[in-house]
Amino acid sequence: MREILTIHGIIQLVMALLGSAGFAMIFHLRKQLMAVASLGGLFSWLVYLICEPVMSGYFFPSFVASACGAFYAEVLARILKVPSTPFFVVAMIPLIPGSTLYYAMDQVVHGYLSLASAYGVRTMQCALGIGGGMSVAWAVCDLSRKIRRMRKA
Amino acid sequence: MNTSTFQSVPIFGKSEEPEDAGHFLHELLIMGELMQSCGAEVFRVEDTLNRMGQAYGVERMNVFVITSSIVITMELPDGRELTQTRRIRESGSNDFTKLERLNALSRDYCRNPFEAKILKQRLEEIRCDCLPRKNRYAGSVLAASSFAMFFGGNIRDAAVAGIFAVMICLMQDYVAAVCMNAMIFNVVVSFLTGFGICIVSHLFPGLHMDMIMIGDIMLLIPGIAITNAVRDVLIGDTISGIMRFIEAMLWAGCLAFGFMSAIWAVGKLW
Repeated sequence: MREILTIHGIIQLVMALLGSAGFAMIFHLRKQLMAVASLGGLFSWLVYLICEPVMSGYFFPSFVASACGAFYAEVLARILKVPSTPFFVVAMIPLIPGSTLYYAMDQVVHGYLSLASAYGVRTMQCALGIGGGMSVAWAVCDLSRKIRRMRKA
Repeated sequence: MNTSTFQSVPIFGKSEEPEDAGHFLHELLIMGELMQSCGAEVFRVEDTLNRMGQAYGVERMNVFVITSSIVITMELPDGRELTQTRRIRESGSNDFTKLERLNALSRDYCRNPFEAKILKQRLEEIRCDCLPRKNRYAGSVLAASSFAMFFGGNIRDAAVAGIFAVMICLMQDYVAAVCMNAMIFNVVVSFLTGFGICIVSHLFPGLHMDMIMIGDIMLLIPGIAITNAVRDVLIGDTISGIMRFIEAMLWAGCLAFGFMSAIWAVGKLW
């Protein structure tokens, strides 16, 4: 926990919140939903920061963070009775590996191809982690929905 | 999506007009197209269209949606089968207000089906509910500045990233229309943005070029398209997922090409 509560960590969390809010605006989210949706971005980045020192590589932190973000989205969608897609998308935004993509490009331009491919692989690991985490959360939510329906019937 | 099943009264056969089912089917296609252009997933579109068809009172709905096409065949209770298809050219961006209104419309319809005429009217209303331009600009500036700082820039980097975000929005409004396709546009927009950022950060030492660029790349990167693609594949919509994935990869390649040539060009010029 101590690693997160540095100035750097707090700035990152605040910026994750604001950045997600910016994307929520671009995606024309209803004003009333904007705050809770952007909190999803902060939440998933917080999970990422907690997981990063504990887990090895880049796949698993992204995986856990995106699964948590997706659960957050699904729960919110059920409480507020709106589609879950907006919450999903906004919560995933801070996890998108924009910086590693940039560094991969930068290394290509400077001719360091092995570094470039290392950054490229890292970008792909993050993307796969995000997609995988979302799918697992989605599958679990679908299962819970079916169980509830079976109980009713 | 609505999870409970409604005990609704089918509307099929209540109207005197013989082509009524055809009208309804046509509106369904428009509905599907609108949903896709607002960023709905394939399974959501299929699910919604199925439910609406069931509420209308057909025997069986066959809905097939991929990112570039919608095919619906309705098997009507009187034995006829109606098929209509629609080709979708644009892969739209996200518009969640529209998506929410479309979802509400489908819920209303499933609860209490109404005529195709009214459906058409309500769809047209939703289509016109677009995002005001100043909101998109404000959102882009906020997002680019925040991510410049998120990845480690300082407040001045954030300000410059914000200025270039306005430039990107302007290009999206005015340059996209004259470009041949989305890929060419991406090369152009990323080259010009990268070029500008390189020049500015050479002129004002102390700015972090990489942070500014990353902030603005976040606006252009098809990260959401890629994650959606992975999700589409993993939940079983393989064709759509792969189409979207390849599209997003080409898109990312174009961005990389544009930014790389900008960095290279400025490096040679300086």
